[in-house]
Amino acid sequence: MNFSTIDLLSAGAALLAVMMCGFSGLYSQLRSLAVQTAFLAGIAISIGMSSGATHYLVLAGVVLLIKSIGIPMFLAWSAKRLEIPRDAGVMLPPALSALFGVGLLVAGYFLSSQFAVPKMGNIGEAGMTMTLIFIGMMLMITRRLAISQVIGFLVLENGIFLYGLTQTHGMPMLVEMAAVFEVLMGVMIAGLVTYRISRTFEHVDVTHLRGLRH
Amino acid sequence: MSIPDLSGGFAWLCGAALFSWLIATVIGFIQRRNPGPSLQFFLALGGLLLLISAISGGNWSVSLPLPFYLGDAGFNFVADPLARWFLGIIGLICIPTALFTPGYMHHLREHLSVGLVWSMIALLMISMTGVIIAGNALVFLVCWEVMALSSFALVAADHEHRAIRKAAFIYLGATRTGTAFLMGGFLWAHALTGTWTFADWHIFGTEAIGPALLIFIGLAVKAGCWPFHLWLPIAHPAAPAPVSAVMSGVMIKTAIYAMIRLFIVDEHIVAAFLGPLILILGSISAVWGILFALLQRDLKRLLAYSSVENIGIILMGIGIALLGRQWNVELIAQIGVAAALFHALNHAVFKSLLFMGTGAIDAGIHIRDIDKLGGLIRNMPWTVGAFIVGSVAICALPPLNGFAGEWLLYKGFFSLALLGPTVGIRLSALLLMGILALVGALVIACFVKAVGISMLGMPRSSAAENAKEATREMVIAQIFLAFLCVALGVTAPLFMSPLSVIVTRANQLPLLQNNWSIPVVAISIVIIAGIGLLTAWMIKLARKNPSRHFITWECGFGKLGPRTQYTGSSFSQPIARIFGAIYNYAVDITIKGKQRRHFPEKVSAEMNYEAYLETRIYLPLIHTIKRLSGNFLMRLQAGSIHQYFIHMALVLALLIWVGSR
Amino acid sequence: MNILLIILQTINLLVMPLLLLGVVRKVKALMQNRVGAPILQPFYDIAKLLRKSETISYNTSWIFIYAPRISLTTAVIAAVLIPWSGQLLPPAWAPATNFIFLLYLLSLGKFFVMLSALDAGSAFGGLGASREAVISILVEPSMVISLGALALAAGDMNMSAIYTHPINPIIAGLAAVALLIASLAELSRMPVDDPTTHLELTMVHEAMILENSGRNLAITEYASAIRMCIFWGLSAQTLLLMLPAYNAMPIMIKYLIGIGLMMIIGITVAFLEGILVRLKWRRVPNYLAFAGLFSLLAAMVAAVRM
Repeated sequence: MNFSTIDLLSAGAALLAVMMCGFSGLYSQLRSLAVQTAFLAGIAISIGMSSGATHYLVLAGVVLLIKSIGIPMFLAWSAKRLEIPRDAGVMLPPALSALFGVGLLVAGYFLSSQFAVPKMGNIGEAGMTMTLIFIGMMLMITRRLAISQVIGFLVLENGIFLYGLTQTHGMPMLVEMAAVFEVLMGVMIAGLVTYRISRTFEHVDVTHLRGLRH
Repeated sequence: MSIPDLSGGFAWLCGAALFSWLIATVIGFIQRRNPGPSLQFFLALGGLLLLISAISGGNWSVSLPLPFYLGDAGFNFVADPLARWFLGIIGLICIPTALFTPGYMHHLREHLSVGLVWSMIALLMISMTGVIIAGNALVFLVCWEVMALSSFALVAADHEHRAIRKAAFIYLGATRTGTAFLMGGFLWAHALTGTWTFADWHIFGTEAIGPALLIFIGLAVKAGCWPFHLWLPIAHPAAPAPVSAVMSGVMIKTAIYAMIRLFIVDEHIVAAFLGPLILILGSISAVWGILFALLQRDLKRLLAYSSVENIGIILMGIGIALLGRQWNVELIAQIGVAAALFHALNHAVFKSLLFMGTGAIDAGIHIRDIDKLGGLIRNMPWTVGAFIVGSVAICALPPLNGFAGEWLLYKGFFSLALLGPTVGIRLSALLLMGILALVGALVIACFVKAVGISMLGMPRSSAAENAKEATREMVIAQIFLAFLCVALGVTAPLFMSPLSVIVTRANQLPLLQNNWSIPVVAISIVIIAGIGLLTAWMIKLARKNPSRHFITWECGFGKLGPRTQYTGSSFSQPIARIFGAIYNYAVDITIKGKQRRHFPEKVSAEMNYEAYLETRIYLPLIHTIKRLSGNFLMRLQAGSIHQYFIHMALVLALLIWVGSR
Repeated sequence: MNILLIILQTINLLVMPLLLLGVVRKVKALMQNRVGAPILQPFYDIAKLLRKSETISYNTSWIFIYAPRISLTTAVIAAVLIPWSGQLLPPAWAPATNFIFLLYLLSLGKFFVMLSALDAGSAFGGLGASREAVISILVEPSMVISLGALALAAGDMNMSAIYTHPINPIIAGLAAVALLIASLAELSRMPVDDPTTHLELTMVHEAMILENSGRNLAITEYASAIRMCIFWGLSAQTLLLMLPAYNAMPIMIKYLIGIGLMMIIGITVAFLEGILVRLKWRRVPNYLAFAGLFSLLAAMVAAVRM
């Protein structure tokens, strides 16, 4: 019953992802996202300290600064400017979403044990990464507001990041940094474009995009 | 398991019971319009004799001599502990039914021939006993069919109402379809083994899949398992109340008996897919049944849906028993079957009680709609008291019998969680406990609604205001069943030993006895003592400060009327809204008036729900069949004699060709 | 068993429920910048109510009179058997502490209280009973699954065995969170129900007991206080299961820590009641889904760690 820090932090990240499915408020989701990314940064620090490679610590710092603090703050500022209602519209009742989230956690755990890739890390963490990926996709599918879908995309990103961090020997530092900045760019563009959408259509409800068909 | 061939002893008691019922059948035919008390006597006597033979008897098997022959096999009857358990259930429920029926039939005596109803009830009892003690598939099917036909006649008893005729027709169709599947399965099994006798069937592996599936579907239709349950809430309310009690309490259990015998206890047909299938269908039945029960306004329909839910619970027990057998974990198998059997008995007792309660209300004031009843507890104290005991039992609240059965099932789930081979199974076992807890809470909500709205509070119609207590015999029957509920609950540990005899296979250790652990007797005594002490204390305090009686608090609006009380639909609205997606629940509110928002004149609220199974699957299926038989097959019946001769010649040619190969 | 221990546990049962209630109300008053009633006020209230007579409605029947007595009896039996303060039971009583049995025993009390609410024939009663039914539907599965996960980890369904067995702290933590979230709904506290208002919009439990008065109300209030102790005490014990060292401590220290943690939970809840707003009724299932979520996670860890 002794768990390493990495186990605990990745379990915490997965738990937050599951709880995010149940939150219907936009700001609660942003806060959970921030804490979740902080946990991932913690994992990077832990790997860095145990293996002695300093680039992990730099990576952790960048992730913490940009993805954990910067992006959620930007999204929160963007949401407030757009006067988006505090309720991130959902297409599935939040109660059912939360239970689905647990189901995805279980599915992730079972599926990760079936992977044919050589395992370098702990199996539990592979399960957590699959959970993050599945839940990220589920959030993108079942949320109505564009910003909520961006949050889902960010959870997906976190899942991929966690996978790379724990299951492989780490991707080259440059690739990781490039990924982080790319995400930053993407989110900023998404934020600005959402502003434009809101100004043009007076709302950011993506279900209304279907009206563009005719 | 070899059964000693004692064609003596208690076989005679069983035979005497059947004979007594046969006498009742004949007398009923003769005295159609005004049957005397002899019918009641013979029906009750038969029940008593059967009960005694079930409790005290050993195993026996009887084969009737040559004049009685069914073409391919003789009439053999077999009674082993499993059969005797179900015989006990039949006998036990027969006695209060016999007590209850005359008083109930009194209000129907102008519409139908009461004597014929008695005959059919006796015939139903005979055929159910025949199904249970049948030794081979042919006898089983004959008795099954007699059971179906006699219950059809009983459902159609009050045939002057169109709705009841329609319900009987639907019931007939459903039971014929089920029997067709059952026959198909038996034929297949006969083709595989060459014999009709159940004891000689040992079918395993892939060749068991076909017969197992067909037999299961046939039995599931009769038992009222989802998705074949649709006939149950239509047929059971249409029948007279004592008949509903017997149908819901005993008849659907004969299907459970067949399932347990064929699939588990004697292992005649073993197929691997059955365990998970029965478990899943059982869980869905349990939740589905009670969700629909919450929406009903008719008390008898509510009870019928609740029967679907209880069959689901019994099937969950059978499902985990099959899984236990599959993985060779004997403990799970034993607890599962024991839970299913015990719950079958308990359900028979409290469901009959509840149906008799609604029958007593119906016989008196001819209302079954919850929203028109109310305040019955003042006019019908005994009936309502017994009904409340039945409700406490069905909600599985300790220390009554419903709790005992469900606790065994929880214990089975927990054993599955402890001993299951894979993580998935252990997690599912915990989930099943959660589902059973959910069902339990839903049942509590449903019966608080049934009792609280229809029997407490203020009467909502003048008929309910003028209700009178039922006749003494009807009350005695209900009190007898209520007493049984309490007795079975408190003496539950004593049942572990006979159940253990039934569920333990040969060469296996009996594990069941060690598994009942709750000191029900002690707790019941403590509860009664506690309530007694508090009552004494309250009475003592009341001497200094007597209670005063006044009207219910009405916020200063003046006297409250019965219309301001909650209705059944209001009570279930929050719950129905949560689960609304399952049945498309919607409440449409229309407000009429000149200034609708500020000065409404007329407000109407209409609750709608839709049973998707009925509207999306069964009705289209039935329409397709009707269309095919109507349009397509009608072409074959062109009415021209020449065409019929051509048909005959073609069939003859085909037969000659087939016969010559 | 030590006679001193029996006396201590009896005093515990008599005193703790109302004391906990008093503490919760005092903290809530302080949060609202009031002085509030003294901590012992619930004792004075019960004594006052017992001295008064009661008003019984014409519409009611024996159910209205007996329901509070049944509720109190089952609550007391449950409080004796559930180890909410780390109490010791004679080993012969262990089978009686089966968690399914005790949960259903509490449901027996709830059943009769709901019936008595409908007995008076007022709309308030129907309102309270209907909402209470919904809440119990949403709460029961989470409680059973989380206690089931604990039982699975301990290998036994009896609570006396569960709470003296070393259990994986993750399972204990998740189950404790689930029990806490569910207990707030079960005990009719914020954010599901407001125990201090009497408006239709906000009542659940108070609506059910609206007709009760005088002696009857004293019994009912005492029964609710006992249930509060049971659920918060049980959550405290589950939280303490996360510390393996807890079980090894001497009985008095265990008891003091258990009661202390229960008081801390009560104070925290009172603190939250000062901050939180009562949920819109339609959002209650969303809130209770979190209880289900944590209980399912506990179940999953229990199934895996076996």
